[in-house]
Amino acid sequence: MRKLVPSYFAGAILGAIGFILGSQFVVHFIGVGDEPDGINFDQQSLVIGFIGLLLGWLIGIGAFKYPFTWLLARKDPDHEEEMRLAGKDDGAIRYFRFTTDHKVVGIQYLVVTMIMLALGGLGAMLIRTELITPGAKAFPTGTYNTIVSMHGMIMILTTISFFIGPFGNFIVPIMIGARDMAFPRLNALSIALLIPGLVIFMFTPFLGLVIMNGDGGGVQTGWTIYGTIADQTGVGMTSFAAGVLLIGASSIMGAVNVVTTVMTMRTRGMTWTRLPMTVWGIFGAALLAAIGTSSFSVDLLMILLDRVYKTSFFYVAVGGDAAGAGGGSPWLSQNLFWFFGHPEVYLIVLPAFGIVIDILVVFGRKPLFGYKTAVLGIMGVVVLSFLVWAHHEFVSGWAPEIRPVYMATTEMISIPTGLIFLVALGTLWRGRLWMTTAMLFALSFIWNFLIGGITGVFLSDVPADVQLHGGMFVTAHFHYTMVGGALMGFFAAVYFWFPKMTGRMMDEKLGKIHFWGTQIGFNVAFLAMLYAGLQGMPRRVADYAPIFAGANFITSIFAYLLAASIIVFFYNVIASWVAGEKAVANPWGAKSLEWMVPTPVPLENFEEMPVVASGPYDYGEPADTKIPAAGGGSAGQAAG
Amino acid sequence: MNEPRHLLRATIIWLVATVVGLVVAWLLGTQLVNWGTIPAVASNRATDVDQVLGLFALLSIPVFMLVVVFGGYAVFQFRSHGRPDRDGPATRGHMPTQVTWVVISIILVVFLFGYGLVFYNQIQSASASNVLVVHVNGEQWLWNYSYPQYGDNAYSTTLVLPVNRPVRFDITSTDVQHSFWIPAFAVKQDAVPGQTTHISATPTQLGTYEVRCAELCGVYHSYMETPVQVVTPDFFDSWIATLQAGESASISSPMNTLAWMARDADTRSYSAREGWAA
Amino acid sequence: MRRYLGALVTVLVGAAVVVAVLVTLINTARIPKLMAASDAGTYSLDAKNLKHVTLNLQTFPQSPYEDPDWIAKNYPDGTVNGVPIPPAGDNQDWVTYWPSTTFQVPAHAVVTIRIENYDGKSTLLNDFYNKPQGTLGNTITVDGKTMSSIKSEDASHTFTIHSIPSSQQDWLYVSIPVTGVDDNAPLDPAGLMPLKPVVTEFSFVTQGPGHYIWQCFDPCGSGFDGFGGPMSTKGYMSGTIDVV
Repeated sequence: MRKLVPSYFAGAILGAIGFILGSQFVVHFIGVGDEPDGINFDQQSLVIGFIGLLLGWLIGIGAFKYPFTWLLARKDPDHEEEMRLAGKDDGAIRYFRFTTDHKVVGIQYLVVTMIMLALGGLGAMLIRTELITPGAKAFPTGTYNTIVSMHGMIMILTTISFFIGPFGNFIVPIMIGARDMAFPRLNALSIALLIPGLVIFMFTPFLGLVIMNGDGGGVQTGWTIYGTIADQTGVGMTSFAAGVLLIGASSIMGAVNVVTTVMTMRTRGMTWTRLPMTVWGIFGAALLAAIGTSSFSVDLLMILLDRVYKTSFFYVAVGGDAAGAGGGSPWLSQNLFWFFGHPEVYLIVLPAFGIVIDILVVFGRKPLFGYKTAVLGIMGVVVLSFLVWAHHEFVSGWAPEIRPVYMATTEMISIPTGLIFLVALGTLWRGRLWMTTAMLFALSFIWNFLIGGITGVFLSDVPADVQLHGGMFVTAHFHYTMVGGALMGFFAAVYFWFPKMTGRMMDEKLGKIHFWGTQIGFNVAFLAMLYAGLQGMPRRVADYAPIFAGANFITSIFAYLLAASIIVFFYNVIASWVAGEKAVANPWGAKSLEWMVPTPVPLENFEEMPVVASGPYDYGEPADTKIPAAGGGSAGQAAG
Repeated sequence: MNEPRHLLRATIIWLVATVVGLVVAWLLGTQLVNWGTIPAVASNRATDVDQVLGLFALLSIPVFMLVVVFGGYAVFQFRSHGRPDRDGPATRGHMPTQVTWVVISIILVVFLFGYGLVFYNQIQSASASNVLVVHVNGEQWLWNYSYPQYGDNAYSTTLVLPVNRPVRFDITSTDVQHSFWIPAFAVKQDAVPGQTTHISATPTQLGTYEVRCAELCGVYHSYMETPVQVVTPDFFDSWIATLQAGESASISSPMNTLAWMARDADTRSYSAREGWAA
Repeated sequence: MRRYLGALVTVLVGAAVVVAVLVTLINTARIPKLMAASDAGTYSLDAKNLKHVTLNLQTFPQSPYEDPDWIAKNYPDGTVNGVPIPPAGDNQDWVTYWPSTTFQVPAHAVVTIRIENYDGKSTLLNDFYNKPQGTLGNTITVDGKTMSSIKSEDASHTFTIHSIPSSQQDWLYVSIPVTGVDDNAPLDPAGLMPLKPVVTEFSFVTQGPGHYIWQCFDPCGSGFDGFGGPMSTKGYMSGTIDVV
């Protein structure tokens, strides 16, 4: 029983107490904002309740345990205390509390992001059920809009975290030869903020739908939360904004940690040109997250201020209940949002670039084709991604004269992206391809991201975008890049690193079922959606004209297949984790540092710090054409 | 088999696939409107946009085939069955290939940008003469229209336009952001509260089309649809005259407009009525 | 074999979860019961005899669920049109059309709707809606007086029927402004709503069968521009009308 304090269990209880204290009692001392809706929770008390929830949670999981001890004792922690905070000798409970070991944080992220993926997938199933035939027959349009907004936001939050979180934390430090991340306590804090952020965010459908009896307003904005409709929409917007603000803070912390770790903690001999491409991909993504997320946070804050305190960032004050002074600009919210929103989608997909390339190398048994080309591709995307955001605003009426500039930059970004395809094809060519499930998903990334990229070029052209913007063509395009690209890359990464992270092998037969079901379901569904977009179907609609019925029916049926295949994946993960075949240290015969350490990975990763003599891509060298014995690496990077 | 044979085979497959793809796309392209795959082409802007979309589609075929053919060839030709017993060759790059790839991508992008810019300028340059100004108001959750050049009484929920006369839409909103979209005209521009946005087009084909909303604006976003009817100039003139005479309410709804038209069927020419879909 | 079985079971469990959520959403959605128009004989229009039906509606500044005295006085048996009045629920202070927002009317008929409005005034955002459109004679009757427009400041709601995206049913568009009660009108003993409503009556002709939606275009809800809250929720200030 003592083991449960501190832990997630204690955190949940204290978090609930904190929420009740904050929303019901503290608010009486601060003063209640006036909310003419007369709803059950007024928005200010809701936000204070969320702060209480956060504090209670952090106390309960032990985030303040050591910091206060050290503060009061006025000393720095010594090595023994650091190890205790890292969960040494704690057993399984260390996964359920505030633990600084990067491997523990990585596993925590893996589980949480998979839960978020499941929640987002639930939303997708509801959406496709509504859209399977014309007529908003499953549930009313207001409920549908809320579900669309939730699905979009949760999937974005999932895809932002599901590379940097599990793999940036668990794999990258070992890959570069470090004992842990640069800021272990900040690392633990970032996952400790993600969980309450998610809980707060999940208040939204209930505030809008169930507690409010019917589709009580809900959050009818889409994940893009444009200022005008975000100001107007139901009370769920408050929990939406608060939850995302918290998760954004967690994301920035994680990103800063990754950037610092990669820049300063590479082991001796691990030069920038010997880094595995996974590290480059995650590093590029972390740069984007660290720089861009604040723009989104500012947008969310402005929306909260407009709603609770009636400021006028976005109120234009044309009438009705707008008590603000007016004079706000709807375009402001679009620019703030998309200045983050565009780098954000590259942040989602860059780690997939790096990971897919690494997997192609390992299972192609050939060195990387064009290391510097690949780096140029990734960093080119990082730089250019900040210069393209207004392509989301081609028809918004904002600054129409400078649209050609954004057309140019957006078309330019296809050049570094194309380099990744060059590298992938060159690596595959004349290799000896080992078709494991991880390899299959990496290959599918090439096909899916190709279609996503080509449809993106269509959208980058201003005249074409005038017709295609705001329709299902856009929705199909970004699903091709996010799902067909990033999610397939995630699956590949899980199948690849599962043996190292959990000590078990995933089932390959179930993996093949997962693979084929996913590819067929996803491709047919979204090709049909591209068709509906060409026909002229708008996006985010609960009901549509009969000419779109055929395409939508096909999309829904194959989306069910896609979802069923992903559930097979979840089963595979859980069943293999519990009872899968035990894994050896280097089952794939790979050559990067993380495969040179034993499984399970020791607490401090390396007995002595490795000294690196060459890159991780030394396949096919004459002295080394035999694949190292599966029991551990003999050749490879570690020369110490 | 040695390297040059593999490359040669794959290149030949790529060329064949590209040619077949281009031919199929070219043949299908002319049928797309009939099949309902793309909306009707009813304005000069739509003709331009469809041309751009067509070119992009044709150019994307060789690019798509390149990756698919070379990738697919590699997967089928070089796979090992089960765990491989040897590594592949230790090639770390091939400078000529990499340079060629980059150069061709740059050329493609420059071409696409230039091509798009030409059409962009063509679309932006508004006609000077005889422009019909339509004031579009987006409101949760319906569009309404007025014709300021014809006086204060000329307003309606049906958009009626004379064929072959340039139109400039001045678009605004009274509440949240909407997006004024006529798929058949390839016209789309956001309706932003507090601002007036503009877009121009010239309807070129008689008929009835839809105006949709392309920006999520709340609970009835899906239902924010009104008809747009392109009619002969004579028809348009008598319609406007009826609006100005203060009888706007009797014909400002689509149902009533149709009824009004039916009443005057004897005096209207058959070709004018043919432009209407009931 | 066991792993395939396990995977299949998990898929079925996942499907069950989705279905459970769907069923919960459907059951918590507040869709008022269908209200069919009452028969009222025939109507002679343009030398044709058409069916004539009526609908009697009220608009309340807050849901009448909250006022048990009013319910006891007006619906002593606790039912309206044979449907039991639901118990008090959430959103009791939301403005609402009553007794339902889901209507059914016959095709090719004259429909007369009578709206008793207990709600106060809120200026229209768009003057376009202060005139009746698509009604017989393009007029409405307000407290007995025939009018062909009202002042935007006097509006309280509108009743606007428009079509769903479909090219296969006849277009139907009717819009009338609903005049609001004066600010200093006497209130009922509970202080919740005025003693006397303002009655607006109008008639229109339906075409062929179809499914249409209707909504209010007056900013009488909450939030930015008054289109939030009840205005953004089905079953209060918006609904459907089926022409059968």
